[in-house]
Amino acid sequence: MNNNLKEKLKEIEDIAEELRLDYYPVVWEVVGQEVLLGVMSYGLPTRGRHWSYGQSYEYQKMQGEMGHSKVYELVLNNDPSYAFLLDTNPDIANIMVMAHVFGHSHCFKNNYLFKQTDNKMVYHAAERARRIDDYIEQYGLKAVEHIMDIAFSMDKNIDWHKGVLREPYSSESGVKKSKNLADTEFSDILGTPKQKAVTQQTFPPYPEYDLLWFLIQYADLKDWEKDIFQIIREESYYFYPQYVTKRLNEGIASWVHAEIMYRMKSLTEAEYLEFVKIHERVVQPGSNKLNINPYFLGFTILNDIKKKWDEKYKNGESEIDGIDKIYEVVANEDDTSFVRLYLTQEIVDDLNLFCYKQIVDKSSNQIIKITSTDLDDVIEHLVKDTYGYRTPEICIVSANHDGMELEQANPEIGTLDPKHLKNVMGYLFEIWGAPINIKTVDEEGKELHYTFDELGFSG
Amino acid sequence: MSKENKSLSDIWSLKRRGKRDSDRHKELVKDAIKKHGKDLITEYNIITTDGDKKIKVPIKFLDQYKFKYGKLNNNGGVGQGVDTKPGDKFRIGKDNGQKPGSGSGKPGDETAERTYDAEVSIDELVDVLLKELNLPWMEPNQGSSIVAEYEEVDSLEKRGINPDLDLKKTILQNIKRNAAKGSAKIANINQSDFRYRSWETVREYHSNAAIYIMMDRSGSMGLEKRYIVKSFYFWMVQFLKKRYDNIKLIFIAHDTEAFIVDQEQFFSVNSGGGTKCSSAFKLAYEHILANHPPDKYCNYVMEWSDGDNWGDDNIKCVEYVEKLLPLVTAIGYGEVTPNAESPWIRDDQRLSSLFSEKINRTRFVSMRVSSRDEVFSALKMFFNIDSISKKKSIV
Repeated sequence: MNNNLKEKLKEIEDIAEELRLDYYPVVWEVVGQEVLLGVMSYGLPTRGRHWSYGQSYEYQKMQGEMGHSKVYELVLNNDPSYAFLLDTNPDIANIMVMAHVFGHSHCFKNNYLFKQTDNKMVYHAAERARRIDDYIEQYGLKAVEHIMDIAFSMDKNIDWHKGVLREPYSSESGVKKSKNLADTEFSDILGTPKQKAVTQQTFPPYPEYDLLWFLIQYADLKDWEKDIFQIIREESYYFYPQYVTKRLNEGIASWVHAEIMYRMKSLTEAEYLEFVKIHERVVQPGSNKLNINPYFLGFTILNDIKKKWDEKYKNGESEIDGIDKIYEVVANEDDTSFVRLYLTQEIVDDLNLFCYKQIVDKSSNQIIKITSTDLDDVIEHLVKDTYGYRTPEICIVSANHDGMELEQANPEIGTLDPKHLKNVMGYLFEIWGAPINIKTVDEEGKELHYTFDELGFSG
Repeated sequence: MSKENKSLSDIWSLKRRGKRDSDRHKELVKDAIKKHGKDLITEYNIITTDGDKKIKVPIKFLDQYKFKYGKLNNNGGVGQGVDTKPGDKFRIGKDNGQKPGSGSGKPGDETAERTYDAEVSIDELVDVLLKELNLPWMEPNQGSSIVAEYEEVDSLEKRGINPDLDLKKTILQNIKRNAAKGSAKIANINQSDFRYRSWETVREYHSNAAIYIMMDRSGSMGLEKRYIVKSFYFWMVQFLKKRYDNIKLIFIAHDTEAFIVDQEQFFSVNSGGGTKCSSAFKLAYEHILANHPPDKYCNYVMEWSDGDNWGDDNIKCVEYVEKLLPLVTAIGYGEVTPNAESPWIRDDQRLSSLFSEKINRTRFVSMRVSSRDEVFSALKMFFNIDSISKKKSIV
């Protein structure tokens, strides 16, 4: 980091204290575009090697080359937070990024969802990556890659509320694990089923949404396979809050950088103008009228909160001022509740937000039909758009030696992609060792059943 | 900032990881190319490239299978920045409806199909395709050359048999000997003057091919048809390049008359008028006789048309193909007949039908192609006949 940046960092830290920001220590690293892209595609600096990260890396690189996306900043949810500055950024851009990073780090440390994540993940992921390297050495790249492919195929199907650490179902729920399947009297007739669970009543006791957890507990996996499943599952829990706090997280980071830059005394007029230009690019509505820039929406709502609560505080209607109210919101909300509680009709009108439906007319033109500009409708549409990992909700309804029954729990959102479904069911069949059935719906809402068994995929 | 925090370089080897996993991804993509090589065969970028340099092929990123939505019921969303009211309708361009990339540092789950350019060389692709064609003889230097044997005077010897006596050299030797004595004349020829030829068998390996690239350029050969033909010829030449050191390409374009043209004209010029395929076969026949005798050249003759040949010309074509058969390694006739085309030519009037009926030889193939997807199987057919005739004639 050059001396100018070092001095500015000092000033930024002082202002952050003024603003009562509460963040993890930040470790700064100035890097080239290539390294930044690398960390971006992994999401963490070191994760078990897998081709999909390489694919993501290629994709990011290509996007960069085509000028589609310029990466300005990257900060990792960890204690300490690791933050990367791009060496080709002009100083003023990096100064803004530093201010922005403190906003993120504050969110990591205080938001109720991020608080549940592993804040030593950077180190843990590195250890796990080493373990995966060992497995590759021991079992071969192809075998490990295949197990990772399987784990990644359902890593977004988690159950956040049950949490990453869970006990097996209690034995009263009708589950009994047989000690050794080879001892059972039918084993020579039935072959050796892969799963260990023996059903007495209904199993699992309730529909299970955390698919990897279920397989780790009840499928007949080798220890290293379980470990890989667990690694990928835990990383999925680690990333989950980022998906459901996007507007809030980018909103607070943008609000913080704007506030800090505004208060910085050492910036020349030219630097400040330059900052305003970059800032506007970050928090502008975006040229795409049909998609909302999360930075922009979050930033706008937080500014509105600040204004209102400063007013209330002044009038004695609130015990906390605008800034503290912002921190309260950042601590307690996610994107869904944030929008539900704090988006107002005034903001909707001000930003000209509208709900639309995409239709195709008789001459097959794509038509956008405006359906509503009402606050409630806008909120409902926004909330739908942000829910979870945007993965179909799949649950295990029952599982035993004879097979596994799955169900799509949210068919009203959309159908399942059949090509992907076929392959993922194939993976499940391989792991569970018995036919896999799934119940879902087609486009018209009619019930559909697919099976994957010895004969392959059928529906 | 605490000092005991691990420094980044201690924990990560950042530069290497992305590269390593992207190399692995590329490897898997190459495997995928191997599996789907034939789908790339009519890829426009490949056909238009010149030379052996690396080319970029648009390839779909490998699928990472997941539980994923197929069709979303909610085909709408929330937009911004347009002063509007319910009921308003806007027409949108194709691009505007797409969601932009997130651009943030979080792993995304983009649902749109992504493609990127995989870099492969034509050579690599040819190898992949050849493997798929499963033609073992296509391996370089395997029965791919014509052997011409003849005897050549290697040296002159003082001993030999009378038929090999070289009279001229013997007399010259005699004159030399007399000249050494004082007068250069022919006199007193004896055993020491006799010079005999010594013969040596010489083998000459020819690895020459002449490829007759012929196409109907009458008005009915539209862009798509010519594109299919071009794809076919592109790969045909690429494959043969693998096998022969020297390749001569002869482009013959015809309507009712045939002309030798250059490559550029061949694919670009269209003319009106009717079609006489025999004109092309005739010109190829004459050209082979004059320039590419089969003991020096492996001749490949291929003609593409859309089958819209003048009725009384069909039988002439059969005649010329019969004449060409002993001169060529392989000869073929292909018809491009896109499905959408009105089939006003009766099938039994088609040249391809006549060919199938009249000529049943291992060196000849007649085929029909209706879309780009079929180019690969056409190539397979063409090279299969070549492979059969190779086994019979040379091995």
